[in-house]
Amino acid sequence: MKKKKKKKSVFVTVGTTSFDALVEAMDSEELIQTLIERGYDSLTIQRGRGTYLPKHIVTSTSSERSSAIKVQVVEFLPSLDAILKEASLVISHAGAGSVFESLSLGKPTLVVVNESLMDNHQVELAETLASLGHVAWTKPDGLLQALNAFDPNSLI
Amino acid sequence: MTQNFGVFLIIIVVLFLRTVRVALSSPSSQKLKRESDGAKLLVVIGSGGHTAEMVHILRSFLSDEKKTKKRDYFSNVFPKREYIFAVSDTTSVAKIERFEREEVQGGTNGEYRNHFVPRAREVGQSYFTSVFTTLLAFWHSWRVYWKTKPDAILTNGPGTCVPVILACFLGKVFGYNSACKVMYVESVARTRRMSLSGRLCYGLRLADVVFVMWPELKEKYPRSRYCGRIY
Repeated sequence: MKKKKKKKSVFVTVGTTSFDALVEAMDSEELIQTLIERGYDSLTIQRGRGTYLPKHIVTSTSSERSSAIKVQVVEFLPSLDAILKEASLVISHAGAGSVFESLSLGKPTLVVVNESLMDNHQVELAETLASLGHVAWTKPDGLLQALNAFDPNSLI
Repeated sequence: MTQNFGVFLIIIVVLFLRTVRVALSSPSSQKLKRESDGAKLLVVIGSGGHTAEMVHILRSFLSDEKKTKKRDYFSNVFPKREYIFAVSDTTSVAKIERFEREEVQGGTNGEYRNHFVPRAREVGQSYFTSVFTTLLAFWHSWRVYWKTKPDAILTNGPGTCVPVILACFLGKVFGYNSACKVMYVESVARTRRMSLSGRLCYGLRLADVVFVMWPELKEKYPRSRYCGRIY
């Protein structure tokens, strides 16, 4: 009997406000290929109140790719609980709420810092949690690199 | 003319001394007022992550009581809870209502009410325009504070809480509701430096107690109290 392949999903969240830089960074063919290579077969992006709408990854003409990974984009979810439980990888803005919710479910978490916020305070939490070995963190423009270097097993 | 000026000067000096006295009064000098029908807690709800964090803080009250098996249930200490939300923050209202409905309510767990005030500052708004929106928020916050007359205020930021805390502080200067305790919990997101509202509460002594969740912060702000992480 052929064992059904276990689903591996990625969940991206920007939190309550907006973080277009992260959504834009996700919207890259190269990044999607990386996710596919790493065995992920579905991607959900919670994009919040931002104005940027993913173009490339949603309207792909390649049927091969769209069968390899299912992409969906939502504005908000009433609760992250259900989707977080499903996820094998969480790419989160560095808001404490989202990050700790993800960590408390034991999910491998890649934190992306929103540098446009007041005092740039998100770096603080990201760095502290990374120094404790709980997360990996990056800035939006380093997302692809960080994803390539991301090793869920190295996190505590 | 000089007489008027003299009176004016005296009022200023008295108010200044009152302000200093309120700011420097030690938190332990007055115990939380407990009437037979219990105290009233005013919770200032931020938004987004702050709301989620506040639910954890409120929940930690509940679980502590269950662990120690004290009879002092959260609901008995604060049988009346008044929540202040920013206008239009429906997500937070839903979170708090779910918490009240599923975890607190049931049996003799008291009651709660919701209030709404305009935001003092939107995420990303400039410091300059924040001054005016804060004034408007202050007026509305004062009205809620006056109407509810709480025994304690609990908040974890962000800007929304400043007008409410100021209302309480000014009230104390003028002798209104002087026994009200202000508890400020610095967000878990702040690991090295306090937020603006945290620094206001700590630096100007607007809060009776400032809780921090990282040891590093406690070292930097010695008058704060380290309470461990809620997550």
